[in-house]
Amino acid sequence: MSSYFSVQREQATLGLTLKGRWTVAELSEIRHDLELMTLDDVKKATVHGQALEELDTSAAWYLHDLILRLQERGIMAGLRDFKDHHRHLYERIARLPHEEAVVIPYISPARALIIAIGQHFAGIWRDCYQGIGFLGEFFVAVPAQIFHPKGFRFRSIVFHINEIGVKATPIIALMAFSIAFVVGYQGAFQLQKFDATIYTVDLIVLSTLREMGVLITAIMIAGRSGSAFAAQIGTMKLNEEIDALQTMGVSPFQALVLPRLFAILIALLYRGYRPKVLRKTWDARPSPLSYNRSFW
Amino acid sequence: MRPLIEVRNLVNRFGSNVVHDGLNVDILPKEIIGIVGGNGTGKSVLLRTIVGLQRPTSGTVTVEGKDIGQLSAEEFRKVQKLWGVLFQKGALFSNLTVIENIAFQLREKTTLNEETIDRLARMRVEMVGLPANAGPKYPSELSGGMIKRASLARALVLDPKVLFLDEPTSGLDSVAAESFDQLIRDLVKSLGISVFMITHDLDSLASICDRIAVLVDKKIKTGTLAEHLRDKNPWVQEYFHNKRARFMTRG
Repeated sequence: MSSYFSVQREQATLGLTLKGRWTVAELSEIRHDLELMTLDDVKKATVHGQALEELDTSAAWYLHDLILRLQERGIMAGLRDFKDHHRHLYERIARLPHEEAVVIPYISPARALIIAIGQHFAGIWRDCYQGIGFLGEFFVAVPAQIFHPKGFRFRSIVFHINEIGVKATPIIALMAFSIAFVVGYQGAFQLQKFDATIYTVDLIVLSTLREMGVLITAIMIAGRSGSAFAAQIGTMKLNEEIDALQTMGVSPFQALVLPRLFAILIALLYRGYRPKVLRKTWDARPSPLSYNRSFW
Repeated sequence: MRPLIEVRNLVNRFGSNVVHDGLNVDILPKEIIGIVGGNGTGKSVLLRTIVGLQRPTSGTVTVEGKDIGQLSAEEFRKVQKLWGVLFQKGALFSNLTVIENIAFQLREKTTLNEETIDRLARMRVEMVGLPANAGPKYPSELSGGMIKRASLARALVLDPKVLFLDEPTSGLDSVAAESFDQLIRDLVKSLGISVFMITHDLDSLASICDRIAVLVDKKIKTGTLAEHLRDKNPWVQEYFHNKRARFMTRG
């Protein structure tokens, strides 16, 4: 009937001869096969193990659990003829202090929901609190830095300007280009209604350079550098580098946060700044209406 | 006895830095082999090479007759069932509880139902001597010794034939280290597994290892403790005859 055991019944006595491999991989099949067995009127059960090829810890535990369940039903159950190493393993498992499940008190779904909401808001409150603390530390650290320029980490700032600003240029350029592209063809389509497609270029240049360029840059840098900072400082925290700084009497805020903050300020100011020359050239351009329309 | 794992002519090179140069070592069934060697002699690199986390520059690792360098990804996954690894810092998944960490492979690799998985995981918690209330805890709430035990339970969950331990007793106090050694010896006896153990703990070397492999001059010298004590190599002499070691080997 099953490829993992055979059953012999003699009135009230049940003989169970195990065979094949009893390992965790076969356990769910074994379990399924065993559940088909009927136990009415059985008074005594013996499990024979001489034909068992392999027994692993999980299966030994299952076997032990099976014996315990039989005994609970008032059946005398025992093992016979197991190979030595199988018996050792079984006894090792049987010796374990039998699992008392750690009881987790029942919480009704409604209560659980209220608890979840409460914890969420407590979390928000904690974040705000810590955010204010961080801001406060910033306002203390910046003047301290300004009055003690000796601790000014110039190299670190330059390094971070390169990381934050220079290395972000390609992705920002790509974003600006693709957004300008979209604004261009959508704009041209709308302007056509007024027969004003000639202003498409103005639309793109003005909207990208004056408004969206700055926004795109800020958003990209916040996303890109924000996650990079989190990864760097998170690794340093795990590596106890931040604790090391603190024990040396160096403020982690001054050593790690300020250089990044200054770097991000400088990088963004530079990126958002439109050179005066460019602006003058733009203002001095001939009106689009004076272009020779046949040129387009 | 046919070895479970054979390492032959292993060469590992990083840039110009040669770590292993023609290294040979065997892992026999049901033995505890201890690996020692100075810092930077490539003990962890050896472990990582055997379990396939790292491709050797040249040489072969043969597991039950199969060269793992030649296996397809699927065949290699089958071979991987042969071993469990206990990493130096435990490497428990920090977003899972101890029970969930142990149950992870049961969930991924077997078709057992939730209740059985949970009870099997709890059985493992007891088997490695953790208190039952450690089960629902997260790794960040555990002490160093408990992390090692939980990680051992996770490594053993699918009954591997070889257990790789990377400095299992480092960072444990001597009482915890001693009881961890006892646990390993006890498990080896009842489960009939082999253990490949990197260690600097001279007590574990002396008390639980059947063979000791010394990584020296980019190769391995294998033997019993008594054989190594007679070795003429200056580094081996230094290692087994310094003040700390004398304290142990004398007793």
